[in-house]
Amino acid sequence: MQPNDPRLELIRLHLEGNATAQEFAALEEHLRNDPGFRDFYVRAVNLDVALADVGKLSLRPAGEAAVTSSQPILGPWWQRRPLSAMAAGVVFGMFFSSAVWAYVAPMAAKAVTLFRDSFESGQAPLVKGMPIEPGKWSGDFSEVVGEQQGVKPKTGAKMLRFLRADYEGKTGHEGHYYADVYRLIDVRPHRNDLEDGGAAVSLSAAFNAFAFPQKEDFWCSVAIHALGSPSALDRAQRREWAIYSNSLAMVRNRRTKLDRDPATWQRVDAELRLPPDTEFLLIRLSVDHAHPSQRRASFDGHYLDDMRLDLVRRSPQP
Amino acid sequence: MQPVSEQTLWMRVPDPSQHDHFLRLFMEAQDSLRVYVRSLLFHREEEREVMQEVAAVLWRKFEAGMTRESFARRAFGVARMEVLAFRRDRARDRHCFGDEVFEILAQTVEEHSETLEAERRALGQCMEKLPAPQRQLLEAAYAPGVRIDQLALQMERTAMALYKTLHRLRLRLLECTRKGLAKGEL
Repeated sequence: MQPNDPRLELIRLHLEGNATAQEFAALEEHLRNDPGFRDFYVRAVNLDVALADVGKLSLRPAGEAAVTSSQPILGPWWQRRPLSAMAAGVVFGMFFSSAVWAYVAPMAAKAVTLFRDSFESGQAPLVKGMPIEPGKWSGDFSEVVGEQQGVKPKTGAKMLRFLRADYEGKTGHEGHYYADVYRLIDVRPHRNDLEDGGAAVSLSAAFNAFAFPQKEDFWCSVAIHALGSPSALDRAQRREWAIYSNSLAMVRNRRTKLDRDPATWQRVDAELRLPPDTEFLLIRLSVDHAHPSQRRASFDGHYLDDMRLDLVRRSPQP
Repeated sequence: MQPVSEQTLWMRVPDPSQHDHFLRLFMEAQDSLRVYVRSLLFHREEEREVMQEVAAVLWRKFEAGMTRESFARRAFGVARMEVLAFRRDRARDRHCFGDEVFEILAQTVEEHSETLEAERRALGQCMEKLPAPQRQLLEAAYAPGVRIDQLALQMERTAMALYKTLHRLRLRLLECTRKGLAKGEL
């Protein structure tokens, strides 16, 4: 369609919710009769949906590429009702023009970093699945390494390398293709910050891989679970999948496919508004085999670095 | 406790492999579903609300052994019914597309799902090509809960002027993604 096509105005009015009955009827007529117009309309809607995802991103570190498809997979529709809670995700970028900043700034406040790590201690995570105590990495087989095969750590001199999708004592290895590491964070010291329902945590981590075959793809994902008590974690440890039914709230972002360039790190973010009775957070960082035909427990060269978990303020729940 | 519909859903799962299976199918279908639902509704907020219901219904009706195709077919059907229910219950005074348009929009979204996904992936690079103030304006306008009239007020512009500016930016992005994908640059 040409930029001056008057029918573009119909699309604009409809997507903005401002179309009159007459304009709506005209739009419907064009959609019914003109395949080219229909295709363009669907592309315009697709862009609108994608921009809404961009709008949800918050606290993106300066200088890093936008990840436009980072909507939490179990985020807004599953995680929060009523919809007014969605106002929590207001963006504030690093370079907002003053007018936009003036709009957004009252809703934001200083973030408190709960946790930051880039494996500089050199200590490898425990290989015991979900962690049993706060402050230690645990998960599937992994190791802490320096620069490898063209992949340089995102920060510092070390990074984590995922090795396998299973851990010591994990039974039924067949069929596992997610390599996970977890960390448990005690947020009880911040209980007062959570009381009004206006607290959220923002998790960010960087992933990379050395070049892998064209026929293969890998997803990287991050997840945050809000847990009400240690007993919730106990139940989850007995049966790993039970973490879902024992979480007060959760969010998971598995929308970023790893590129084949070892020089670039891809950042994945997620944000979760915390229920006031949250006592612990379980964060999970994963890489998985994307296609059924490639699924296996081993990983050849997939890396994780520069995790950050911030406690941020959002507008209190109505 | 925060109302988390997902919890209820998960607790019905007797077999952990089922939730993985459902999640995988849902994740594969969700972007196309969102585009379809949004194409039928007036506001982004409506899309979110309807999608919440769609996800819940799909889970309730989920059957082991569903394939990607059977799940997508059912998902589009459920989405259609939920849009109709939403319009019936929540928006009696508003217009609604007829059956034929419902059908052909579903077909269009499904047929072009790969291209649409590629365009969504390319959006990040096209956003980076925009001057910073324009990019930030888009991010602010699309932030959840933002009302354009209020944003315009803050920016000392009219709502119509802001709507038009956003429209031009969207057209620019559409052209950028189209050209970039055609040239293989994105």
